[in-house]
Amino acid sequence: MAIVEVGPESDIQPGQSACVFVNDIPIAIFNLNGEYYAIGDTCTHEDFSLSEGEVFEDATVECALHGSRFDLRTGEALSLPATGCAGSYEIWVEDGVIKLEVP
Amino acid sequence: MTAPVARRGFSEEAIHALNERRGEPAWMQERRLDAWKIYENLPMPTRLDEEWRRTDLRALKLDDIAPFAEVSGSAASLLPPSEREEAFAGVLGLRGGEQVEHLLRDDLRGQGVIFTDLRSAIREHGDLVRKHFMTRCVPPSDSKFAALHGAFWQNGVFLYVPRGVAITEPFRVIISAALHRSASLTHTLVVLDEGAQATLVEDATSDEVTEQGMSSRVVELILERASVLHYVGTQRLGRAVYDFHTERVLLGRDTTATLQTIELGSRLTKGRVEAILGGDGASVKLLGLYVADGKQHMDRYTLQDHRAASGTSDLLFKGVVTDEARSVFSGLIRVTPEGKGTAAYQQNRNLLLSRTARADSIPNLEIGANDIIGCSHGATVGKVDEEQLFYLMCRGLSRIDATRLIVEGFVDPLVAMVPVAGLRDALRREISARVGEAETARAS
Repeated sequence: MAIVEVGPESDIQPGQSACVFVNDIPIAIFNLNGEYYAIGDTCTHEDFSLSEGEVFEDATVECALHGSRFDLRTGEALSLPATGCAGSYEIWVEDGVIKLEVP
Repeated sequence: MTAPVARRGFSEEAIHALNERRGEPAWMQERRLDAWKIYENLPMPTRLDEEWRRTDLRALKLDDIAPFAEVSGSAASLLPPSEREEAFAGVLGLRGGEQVEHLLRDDLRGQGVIFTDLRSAIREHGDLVRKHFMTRCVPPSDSKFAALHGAFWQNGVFLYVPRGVAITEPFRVIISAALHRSASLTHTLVVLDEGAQATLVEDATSDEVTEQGMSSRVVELILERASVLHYVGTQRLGRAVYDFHTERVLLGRDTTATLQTIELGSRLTKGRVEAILGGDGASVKLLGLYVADGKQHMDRYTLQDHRAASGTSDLLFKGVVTDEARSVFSGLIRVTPEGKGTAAYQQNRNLLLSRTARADSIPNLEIGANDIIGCSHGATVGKVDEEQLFYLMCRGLSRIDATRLIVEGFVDPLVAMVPVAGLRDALRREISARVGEAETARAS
């Protein structure tokens, strides 16, 4: 496991999301009301970027391409057509810096 | 030692520096600049483009890649010791774009056969190269990456076989590159004149780098009337390399071609394998094999384009995908109204060795002629058969060895068609070892 600094907290404001690449792997980061979540950025159905999806208050994101919902806490697909887990990552803020733990 | 002509990133300035360094003729300079204009005018593909929908290029940092790299390592023979006793019509080795090895049998030279690196071919056979290089087979306008290739190609192979000359032994090409935050853009141009016959086997390899590198390979195969070609291209690039390639064969009247690709390496590979049957009675076999593990991503598009009567095309692509790897096969059989009497077949078979591996298979037909013999396609994606595993394990094999044996049986009909024994054995060993490692890691 490695800890990666994503950037200052101010880079991703509440309601915003972003995609970062760690070792060429795309990771979607969401700021939902000040709470940070990180899951795999790729929809397991048709590869669309989940960071471009719509985020809901129940900590889910809807893929913009075909509407599959994913749990921001676990990366699990909650509705069809996606069935596979997108994966999730530990994320936290330390001294104003967003940090990720990646394998 | 060759110094890089540009620090990082592709630019028009780098093309001028390259041309100055090489002393290329004006026509090639013009072509490079024209290709660069096309590159600049074409948008970078995104997943909103159908062809790129399943391949994510956002991690590719082209601006951080040097168009040319220093040549590292010795200039010793690239031909593996296991192949030194084999009979070849010619051998060509390129390391970092520089020719380090060249051999052409004297009798073939006497018959007018040309087999040399592309830089030398431009100097010594300029008219022939000018006529065929990225003109009618793979023009720079073909795609964003073909345009980049046209602007920045470094070196490659030129094979010309004159009318009626039939060569049994294969031509062997080994292309080796460093690719540490740098690019390798190699070009293969094969022209077979009427009634000529040849076999070309080329192997693209690189150092095992940890930082991103880029490879661009364009293979143009031009077959004049009644010529016969067997082309084999293997790709064993390092695991941090982004590889873009196009292999296209133009088939004239009554020509026969086998176009075979084997892909084992790279972080991401996006390729096109295409046959354009432009002459009546042409016949082509397209064979492909890809083995992906770790987080590799392999995406290929194939085309069997029947533009003339009585053409035959047969495609078989097989894939082995494990760990968290991903493969995409998208294949099209297209028959224009001129393609009467066409017989075209397409088959893609995938073996998934882990729950997290994924293989997408998208075969397509586009038939514009009524009077055809038949066009069909098939696709399978499946796991290793538990009954077969049980059978083998009953005979004392471990699950890992049983899986490896089944995978070997799955891929071997394609590997066995590689006409160089040393390379064939190396491919078998590599595939077997990789499957064994992946299965061992999964079991532990």
